[in-house]
Amino acid sequence: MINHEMDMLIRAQNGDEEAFTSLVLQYQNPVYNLCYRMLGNAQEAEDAAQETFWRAYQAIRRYDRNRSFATWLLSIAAHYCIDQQRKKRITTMDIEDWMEEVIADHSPEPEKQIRESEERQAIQSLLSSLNPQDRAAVILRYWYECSEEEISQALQLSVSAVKSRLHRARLRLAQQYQSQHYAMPERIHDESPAF
Amino acid sequence: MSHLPFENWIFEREKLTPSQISELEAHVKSCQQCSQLQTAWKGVEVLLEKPPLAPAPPQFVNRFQANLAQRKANRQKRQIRIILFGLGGSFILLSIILVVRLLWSVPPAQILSDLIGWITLAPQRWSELRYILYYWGSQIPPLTLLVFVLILVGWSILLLTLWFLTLQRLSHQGVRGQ
Repeated sequence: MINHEMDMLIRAQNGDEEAFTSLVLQYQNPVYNLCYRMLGNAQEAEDAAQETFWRAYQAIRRYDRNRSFATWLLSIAAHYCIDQQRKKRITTMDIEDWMEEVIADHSPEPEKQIRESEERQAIQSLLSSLNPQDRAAVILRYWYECSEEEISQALQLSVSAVKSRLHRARLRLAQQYQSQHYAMPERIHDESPAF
Repeated sequence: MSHLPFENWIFEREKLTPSQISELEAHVKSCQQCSQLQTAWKGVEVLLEKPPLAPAPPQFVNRFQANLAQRKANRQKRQIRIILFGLGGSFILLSIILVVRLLWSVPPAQILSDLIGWITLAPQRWSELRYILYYWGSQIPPLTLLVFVLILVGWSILLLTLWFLTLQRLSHQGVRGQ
């Protein structure tokens, strides 16, 4: 861990609010992005990210400095988002939010922005086909490059459970992609344990 | 046909040895399902490799600071309410225990007659008290009385100041660690 960050952590653990705020500044993007991927809605993602930092602030004294701070923080965010999804059972990104994002963007390259928004929509659509824990595992694996060990720590699962969830999630994503882009082939039942 | 190892291999191609890659490619050529799965997974991977989203909304940190101040204030108010309710509740409980104990040990009629007697004798006791105070006041040297009053007033001011400061600290900072 970088010395500056460790210094900030120690100060934050001793009740220094400014030090904690600098950690918020440093980690706002990864936490917000995780929440956005999990919830698929900009406003809910910001609320979730704010809640994540509040929870981290309350628990900062219990944080074990031997662990990665990023993993610890993302773990809080992932658990909160999983709980939120279980409560609300969000399945897809709100199309109005998506349109709002596209329209509100005053970038000089609107076509590029629209294309990127479409890609975001495609990703969210795929992710929404996964259950919350599988989604969290995929997000941590592909956007945060977490190892299976780190994912297991963040989601409080065994490493084998993470492997199993990742496999199931990848299969589901591929099937979802197939159904969106090609004619869905009929799945042959009882052909093999994998299919 | 079994797809088990090949399915895993399609998802984790970067971990395969050259011979496993050859084996996978041979299987994919002969298996339509695995071929479709591989094509679909490549499409998913392209999406997953897209750069991360835009940064957090502007003023995110400022909003966090405002939220933090608000939540801390709410937490402190809650702590004060808990303390006051706790003290009030303890006082009421203690009073109830004392009343119950009194009623348990002394018959109600006895309490009533004692109360009437106490009220009847109150004016007489008040004049006796005044006489005692007047007597002792005339006996004590004026300087001693002044010192006594000063000590009493000094302690009262000190204790009241401490009480006020404690209340102020609780209302502004809350109880640390809760």
